[in-house]
Amino acid sequence: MKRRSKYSPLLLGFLIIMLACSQIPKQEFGNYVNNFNSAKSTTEDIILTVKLIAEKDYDGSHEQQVALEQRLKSLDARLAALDLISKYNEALVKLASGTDPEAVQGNLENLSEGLLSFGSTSINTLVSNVAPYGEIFAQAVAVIESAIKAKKFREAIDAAYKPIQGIIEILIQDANDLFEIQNQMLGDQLDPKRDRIIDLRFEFQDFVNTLTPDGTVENAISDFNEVLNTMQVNPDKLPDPIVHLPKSSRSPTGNDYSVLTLLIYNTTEQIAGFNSLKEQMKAIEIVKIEYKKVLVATSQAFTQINFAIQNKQRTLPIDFAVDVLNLRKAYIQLQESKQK
Amino acid sequence: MNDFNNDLVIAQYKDAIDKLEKYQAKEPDRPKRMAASRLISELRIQIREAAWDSIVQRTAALETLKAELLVITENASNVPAVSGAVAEISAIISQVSDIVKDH
Repeated sequence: MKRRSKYSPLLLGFLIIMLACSQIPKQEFGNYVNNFNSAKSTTEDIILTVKLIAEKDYDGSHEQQVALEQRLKSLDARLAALDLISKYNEALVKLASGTDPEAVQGNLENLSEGLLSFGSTSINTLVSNVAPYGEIFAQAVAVIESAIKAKKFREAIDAAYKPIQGIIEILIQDANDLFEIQNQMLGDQLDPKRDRIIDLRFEFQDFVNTLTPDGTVENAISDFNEVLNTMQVNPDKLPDPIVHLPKSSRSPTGNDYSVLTLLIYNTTEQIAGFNSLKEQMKAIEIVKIEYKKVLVATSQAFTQINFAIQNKQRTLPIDFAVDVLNLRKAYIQLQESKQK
Repeated sequence: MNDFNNDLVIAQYKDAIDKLEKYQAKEPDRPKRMAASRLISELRIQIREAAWDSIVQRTAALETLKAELLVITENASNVPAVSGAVAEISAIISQVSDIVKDH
């Protein structure tokens, strides 16, 4: 008959307490990790969009090729930086949660290797004799490893905190430039439409001035001015409304009415295209604002979690989810505005 | 940390575009409007160049921070645990070992 250790109940109780202490609000951590990954994915999309713009903007010249390579390399550095931030976040979450889920689920061999790296050789014996208490032991080792990790990485996490915050700061500074590049590319598409609308406005004015006023002409002028007013620009950039100043006494014919109708139609079409691009620009502006908010929220979340780790507290940044959700929403709205 | 940005230059270019757009809306002479359009187009290119320039300049700072972080990470994985932690863990391992042997 095997001798029962007098320490067994005590130790098991101790292990249970340790496990209870390491019980984490998994749902909350899961939500936080999901939100973080969502923000990372959106940020990657934003950077990749600008990468595509860089390639589109390339005119084939040698000079531009050098610039293109430099730009793509710079954006790749941002993607790599995001990866680092993500890894840092992973370490933060594991430490903050008090356990390493992978370690709990991983095999004992890996755990023993982890422990061996701290100079303990007795673990080998434990692994080979673990059968009767396999599950308890696995959990215990996970807790132990977790404890070791907490001791080991707490300082590292604290040391890494500053460079990580510096990286986030650079990403915040990048935001204006990343979105400015996108906006100016849209501006290139917007300008010809605005030019055409102003051309049409002067064409309409010149043509209508060759006609004597009648009800149909006056209605056409009114319709044209109404269409012009739908142009999404500041009032001081809006072309002046048409004011009928007849310069001849020619009575309008059916063909003249058709010309007026066609001018109104073409102007309507151009303004619709113009406004659609303006909507995209507005959507980009909103994404920019939300993107910056998420970066700031990430920085704050890291501060909060790191503080909790250093002070052995348990906390998670609740507001982070709201900022990520708003960014996601703004980004989806931007994609939708592009399809219109 | 150095703050690389061409925000001021970009703001000046954007202000110039703003004025040209206002001018265009009221200018009846088409060639003059077209000349303004060409200027706007050139300014948009300059804004993009300035924005790219800021991003590229900041990359060096980013690489430095990345390198700094990698050194910390590398060192962290080689730093032995504090002696207290090792003793604490060894005690637990020893107790767990006892249980396993007893069964």
